[in-house]
Amino acid sequence: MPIVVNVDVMLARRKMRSNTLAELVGITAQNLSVLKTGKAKAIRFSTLERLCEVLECEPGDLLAYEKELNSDEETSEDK
Amino acid sequence: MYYQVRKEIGLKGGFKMQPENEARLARIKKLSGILRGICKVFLVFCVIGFLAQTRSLAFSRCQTSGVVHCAYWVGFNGVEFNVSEVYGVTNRDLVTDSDRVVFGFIFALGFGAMFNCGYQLHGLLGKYSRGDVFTTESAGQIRKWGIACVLLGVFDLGLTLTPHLIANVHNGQSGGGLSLMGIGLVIMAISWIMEMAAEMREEQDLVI
Repeated sequence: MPIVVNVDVMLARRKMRSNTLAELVGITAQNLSVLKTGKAKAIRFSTLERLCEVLECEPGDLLAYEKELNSDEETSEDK
Repeated sequence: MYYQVRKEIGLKGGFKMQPENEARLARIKKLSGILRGICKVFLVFCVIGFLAQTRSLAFSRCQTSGVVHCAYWVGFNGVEFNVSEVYGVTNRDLVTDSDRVVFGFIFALGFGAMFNCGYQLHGLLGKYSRGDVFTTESAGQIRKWGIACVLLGVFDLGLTLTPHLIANVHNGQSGGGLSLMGIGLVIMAISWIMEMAAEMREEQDLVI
């Protein structure tokens, strides 16, 4: 999936545990795990707001876009 | 993908639920387990009935009426169970071996359909007893059960019409084949709607 969730990076920076973050944000540990592994279909603005508040960061610190390269594009770049 | 996510993060039985819903799920699991046991007994009786019927068709030459009656007469001395009025076929009607083969073939298909119906229901109750109540998999299993009910209705209708294929038919009563087919189609329609609803719910579960 092109959208990458960098919650792990921010957790490491803030030296916080996943369970603590989940409790402070108000979501279950399972849901946080789904978010961290990139399996979530969508995220609510309210959840994103709480994450930014707790981790003291911007939405851009948590979410990134990485374009998926096709095999044809890779071969054309090599040429 | 929903089940892949559940497996990867080690969840069993779905995402975290409210305590009252946990209690409801426990009751569903318990009841499904009991009904599954009853289904197993039904399946065993299906097999016994099929074997007894096959034996009767193949070997019995009793003078009294009723194909299945002969099976009971062989197995249970003194038990009078006259089913000639139900199926309309007696051993006097089955005068040739080809008649027996035709009737036996259709009866075997009927028993097979009945067994399949019980087996699919057994599978559905198995999913419920494991906690997969409102999921795409259980909806798919309901659809399979619906198809089995339709097939059972078809073969039940065939069994009703079979006496007319065989000479010297005395009785012929209608069975419940059409109603069974109708019930099966309704079950399939419900499963289709349930599957869509389960997919929407699973997608919603993955919205954080």
